[in-house]
Amino acid sequence: MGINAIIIHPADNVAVAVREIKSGEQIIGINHNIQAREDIPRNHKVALREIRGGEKIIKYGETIGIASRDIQPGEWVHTHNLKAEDT
Amino acid sequence: MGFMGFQRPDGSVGVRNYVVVMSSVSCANGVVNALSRAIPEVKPITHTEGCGRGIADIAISTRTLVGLGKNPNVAAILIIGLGCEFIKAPGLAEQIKATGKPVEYLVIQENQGTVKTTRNAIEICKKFLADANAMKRVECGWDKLILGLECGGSDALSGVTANPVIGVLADWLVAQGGSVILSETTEMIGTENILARRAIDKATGDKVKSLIQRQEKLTKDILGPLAGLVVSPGNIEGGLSTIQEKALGCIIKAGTSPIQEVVEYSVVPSKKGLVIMDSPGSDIFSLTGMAASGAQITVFSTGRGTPAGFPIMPVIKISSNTELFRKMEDDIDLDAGVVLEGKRIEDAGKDLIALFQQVVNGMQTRAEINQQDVLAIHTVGPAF
Repeated sequence: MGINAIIIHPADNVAVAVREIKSGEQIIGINHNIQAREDIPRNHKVALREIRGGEKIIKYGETIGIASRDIQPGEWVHTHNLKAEDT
Repeated sequence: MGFMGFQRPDGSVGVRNYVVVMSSVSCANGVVNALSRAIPEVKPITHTEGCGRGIADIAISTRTLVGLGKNPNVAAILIIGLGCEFIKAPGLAEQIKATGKPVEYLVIQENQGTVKTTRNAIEICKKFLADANAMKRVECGWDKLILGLECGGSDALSGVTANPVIGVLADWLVAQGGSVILSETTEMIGTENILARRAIDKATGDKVKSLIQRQEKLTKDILGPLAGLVVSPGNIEGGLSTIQEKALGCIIKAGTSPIQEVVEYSVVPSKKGLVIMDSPGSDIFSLTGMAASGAQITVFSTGRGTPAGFPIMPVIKISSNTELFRKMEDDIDLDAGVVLEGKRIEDAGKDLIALFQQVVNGMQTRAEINQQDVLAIHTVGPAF
């Protein structure tokens, strides 16, 4: 059985779903023992750990945005809970 | 241990050994084409520039044509001019001669037209080819290499598979003392602060910032309401949440080393290591600028698939997904879609490094086999 998510950089707090992951499914292919808390669309991001509102969302080892509310491990991360960082 | 390359008189090293015939102006393209029909071993370079442009474009085109002639993959070059154009063949030849390589020129109006110019050109190229064919590869250090980076026809996976895999190669080459050019300024919009932090010093960081800000303004000026396409609704549906995320997926192909220098389009870097070159995001303009900046080889990621290569520079094509690799197998050299099956990015990167070394040592890429020789010079103003 193949993986369903990959982490690009060790510092990342999100992984990328490489196929659609259904709510309750295990996130496979990474060192985190977490379950998807909701459906994660293909190529979208899933939180690997708890991210508090105001904390940075890290992908590629860099900040791609700020959590606009608390995010639980296994939650889908996108524009509904991530806002662009003020530059 | 280094690679086997062609040593040039100025100390640079080619990974290929081309005899080139290049027009100074589009009016001379017909003679270049006639010559390449007569001697297929010669690499023709034709383009649309050389006259009828403003001062800024004359400067860009001149340094691009000189840069292409100076590229270490070129063993010898013959320039064909018309005679009354703005960018003249003798001037280009003079500048390229600084490398010490054989350079000749012919002017059509001084050589009694197409047939006689072509006949004279054939004689010159026969001599160039005989000398070039006698040259042998010798062992050279990796520090002699400049690697260009390109992504085109990208998809949602380009930034997840292919570009991070290319980043492994970029970091490896910089660690060996070589150089890497990251171009396509448009793709960097949104990451000016991230890239500025990676610059070697504050002055370089400020240059990175102003370059990206200039491109952002230009993109808004020329695209108007379409500028939003840089982060489009399609990107958001595809899973990209911010412009930073999209741009990071592009610049990850440059790896993680510090940015040593920022150069304008077609300018040869003065520093080793990772260098940013200003260029449009459009693939062929970018490839031409990197080749003129001295890149001997380019690695090019694609998600939708593109066959483009370059006349005097091998281009290694890497697919972001296996479906594309199967669909366009004649055009793609390596599949990064294996990362989606569980292969580690580092391991796929090692495969790319091995392929890169083979190509540097002479193995032909798909684009070379297919003779996908395309070239376009970036311009900033209208023709008159």
